[in-house]
Amino acid sequence: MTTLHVALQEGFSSDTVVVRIQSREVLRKANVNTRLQTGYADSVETEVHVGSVNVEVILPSRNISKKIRLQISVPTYLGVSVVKGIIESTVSQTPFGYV
Amino acid sequence: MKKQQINEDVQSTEVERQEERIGEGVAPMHFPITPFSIAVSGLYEFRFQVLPHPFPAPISTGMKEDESEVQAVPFFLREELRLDVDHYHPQMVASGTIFGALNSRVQWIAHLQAKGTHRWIGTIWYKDGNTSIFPYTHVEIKVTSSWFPGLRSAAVSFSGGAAPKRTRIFRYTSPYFHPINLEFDYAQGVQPTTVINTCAHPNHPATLPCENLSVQMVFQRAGFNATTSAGGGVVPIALAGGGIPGKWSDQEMHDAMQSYWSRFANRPQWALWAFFASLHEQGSTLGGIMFDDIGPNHRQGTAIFKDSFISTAPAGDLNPQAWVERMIFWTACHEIGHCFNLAHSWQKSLPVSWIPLVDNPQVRSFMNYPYRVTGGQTAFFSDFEYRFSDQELFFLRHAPERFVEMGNANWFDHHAFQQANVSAEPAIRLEVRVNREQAVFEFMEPVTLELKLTNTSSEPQLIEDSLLRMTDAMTVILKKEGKTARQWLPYVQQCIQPKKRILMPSESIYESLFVSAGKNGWDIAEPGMYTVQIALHLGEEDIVSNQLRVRVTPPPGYDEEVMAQDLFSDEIGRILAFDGSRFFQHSNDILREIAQKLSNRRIAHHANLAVGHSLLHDCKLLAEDIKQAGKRMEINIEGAKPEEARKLLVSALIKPASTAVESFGHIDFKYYVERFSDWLNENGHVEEAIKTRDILYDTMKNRKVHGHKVKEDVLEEISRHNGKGKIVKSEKAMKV
Repeated sequence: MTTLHVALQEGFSSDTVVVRIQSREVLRKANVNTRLQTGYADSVETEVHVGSVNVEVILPSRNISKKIRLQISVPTYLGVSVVKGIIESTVSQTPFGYV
Repeated sequence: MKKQQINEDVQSTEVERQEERIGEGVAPMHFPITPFSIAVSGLYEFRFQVLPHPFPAPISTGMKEDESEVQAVPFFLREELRLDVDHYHPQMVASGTIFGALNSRVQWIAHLQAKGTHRWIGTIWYKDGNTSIFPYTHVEIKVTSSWFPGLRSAAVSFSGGAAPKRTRIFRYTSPYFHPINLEFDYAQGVQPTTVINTCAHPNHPATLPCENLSVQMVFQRAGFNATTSAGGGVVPIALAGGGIPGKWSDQEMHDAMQSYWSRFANRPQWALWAFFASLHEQGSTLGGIMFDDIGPNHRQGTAIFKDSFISTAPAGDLNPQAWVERMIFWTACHEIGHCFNLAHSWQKSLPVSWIPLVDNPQVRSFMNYPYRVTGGQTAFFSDFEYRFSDQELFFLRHAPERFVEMGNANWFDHHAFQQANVSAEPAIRLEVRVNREQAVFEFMEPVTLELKLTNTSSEPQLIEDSLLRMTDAMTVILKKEGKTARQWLPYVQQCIQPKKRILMPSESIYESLFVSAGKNGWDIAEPGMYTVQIALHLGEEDIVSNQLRVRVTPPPGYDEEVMAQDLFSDEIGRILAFDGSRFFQHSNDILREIAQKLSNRRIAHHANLAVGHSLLHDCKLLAEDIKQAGKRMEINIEGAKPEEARKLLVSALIKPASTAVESFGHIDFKYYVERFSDWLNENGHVEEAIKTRDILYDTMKNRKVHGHKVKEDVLEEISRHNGKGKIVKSEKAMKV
C-alpha cells in the first residue's frame, strides 16, 4: 500500500467535485473554490495498492469529468485543475507547495 | 500592544544614492544606465488651482504653456506624469493622472517611441475615470534635463480627439512612481529573511550582479519609494493556536496585523505588513499567503512560513542553506507582490484583469512558481534576475492606483475626499453644517444638512437664485467610516427656471438638504461616523464644501432595532423626503406606530410631521378602478383629516419645540412651523396660529449654537408676521 494525494488546484469556482479512486468515492464536496492567492482549493489523501490506479474526477454541475490512470509504486501527488472548462492533471513524486 | 512609534527608515533610497553617485561622476556598476547620463524617469507634477474668474496664470517655467486650454478644462486641479523610459527595466510608457474636484479624475496611458534626445511621442490607448473631460488621443513629451532634480521638467502636449492641443509643464518630483512602506514583523523564534546575497547560491545567471539585495531594493527597482517602518516586532506565539498550537490561521494573522502593525488602519494606504511565522494551519505545503482578504480593506497583510516546504532544499543541492534563504526571500517578494494585486504568472488571463493579459507560465518573475516552469526550479533560478515581469512592472507603475494600492476599493472610496483641491481664496464659500452643538444624531433620526453659500470676495457675485436647491448641480458624497463612499442621489431633480441674483460681499444664502435616503437607499442609517462633502458645479467651476463629520449613535434598546427594520425602507425614505404621502398607507401606519412606541425619541417628531403633513389637505391619488374592465386609471380625492393632522403637527413641532428645532434644523423648523401656522390661520384657528408663531419666535430667539444666536433679520422676519390677526403667509410657504 502507498499514499495517493489528490489536490484540487486551479480553476474551481463554487463547484461540486466528486473524486473516485478505483470506482470508490473518496471525495464529494460542494462549493469548492480555488483561492487565487495560492492556487489551492482542496485535497484528499487515501491509501491505494501499488500498481495501476484509476482516478476519476467529476464536476457534475459543469458536466465535465476526467479519468486518469496512474502507475503507483511510491507516495504520489496528483494535481487537478480546471483550465478553460477542461480538467487537467499533473503528477508529482513530491508534495505540492503553494505560495 | 500596538507599537506607538513609527520610526521610518530615513536612509536615502537606492535610486537617490545612485543619483548622488551619478552626480559625483560615478555611474553604478551593474545597471543599464549610461555613464554620466541623467535618468529622467520618475514622477512629475503639475499644479493648478481653480479660482473664480480670472483664472490665475500657471507657474512659470520659462517654457510656453497653452493658457487658453487651461481655461477650457478648469476642472483639472493637479496632474501627475509618470515617465518610464530609463532606470530599471523601463517600459517605454508614460501615464498620467488628472485630479479634479471630487470625483473628476482621469487616468491615461501611452506607449512611447523615442523621437530624439529626451523626446517621445505616443498614442493614448487607455483611459480610466471621467474620460469625457479628457478627449486626447496622442501625447508628446519633451524633458528638460538637469543635474539638479529641482530643475528638471517635462513639457507634455496632448492632441487629437477633436480637441485643441493642450500643453502642460510638469516639474520633476521623484525618481519613483508611488510610495510604499513595508513593515516586517515575526513570530517568536522565527527570524525574518529580508536580505540575501544574490550569488550565495551557485545556480544563478552568469550576468547577475552579485550584491546584497533587500526586499526594499526589489520594490525600489519596481518603481516604488520603498521605506521600512521600525518593524522588528515580535508577535507572541500564544496568539496562534486558537485552532492548532503554533500554527497560524488567516484570522489569527489578521488579528495580529491589527494589533502589531504600527500603521494598521482600515483604509487604503501605500503600506503593508509582512509577517514571518513558522507554519500556517494548512501545514507545510503552504509557504506563504497574502491572507488579507478579510474585512473591507484587502491586501494589507501577508505572511511567510519559514518551516514550510520552502525550507527544504532539494536532495543533493550544492548549497542547501543558500537555497533555503533564496527561497524564503523569493517567497517574501512573491507574497508582497500579491499585496500589490499581482496574480500568479499563469493566472493573468483570468477574467479579473484590469486590461486583457496573457498567461506567462515560463516567465522568470517573482510571481511565477520556480518549480512550475519547464526544467523546474533549477531552470528557473538559472535565469532569474530578481525582478517582476514587464507585464507586472507595467501594472505596478502605471495601472490606476486604486487597482494597486493596498486596502483600496472602489472608485469613489476615499479618493473624493483625499483629492479634492479647494481653491485657497475662493470668491464663494460653501459650508455644510448641522445647527446643533455636536453633529450627533440619534439612531433613526433623519439627517438634514444645512447649506450656507457665502460671497467671500469683495465684489458682488452673480449666482442662480435657486442654486442650493438645484441638486442636479451638486455632488453629495457620504462615506461611512470603514465603508465604501457613496454618492447621494436625490429622489427628484427639480427643473427650475433660471433666475439670476446678486450675492453681495459677505452675504449668504441658505438651504436645507435631507440626505438620509435617496435613490441609492438609506445612505445614513447604521450607527457610526460619516463624512459628508458637497461640490457645487458652477458652470466650469466647482465649489467644494468643508468635510462634515456626523455621528449616528447606537440604538438604545431592542425596540429601536426592531422598528428600524421597518423604518429603513424605500417607501419611508420617500415619505420623509417629500414630507408625507397618502399613497404609502402601510408605511404611514409604520410611522404612526414608531411615533407612538418611541415617543421620547427624535424620530417621533419626524414621523408625526410626515403623517400630519399628508393629512392637512385634500389629496389627489391616481388609482386603478378595479370595477372597470381593463383596470382604467382614475384620480380619486382623499379628504383631509384636519383634527388628526393638527394633533400630529403639534406633537411634531411644539412638544417640545426646543427638541424639534434641533432635530429639524433652523431652516426646516421655521418653514414647517410657519406652514402649520398659515394652515391654522386659514382654517379659522387664528389664536392658535398666533400662539404657534410666538412659539416659533421664542424658540428661535432662545436658540444658541456654538455661542451664536439666530440672526436678528430672521427674528425680525418672524415677528413681522406675528401681528395679532394679521397672519401673513411666509415667503417660503408661498413658494410651496
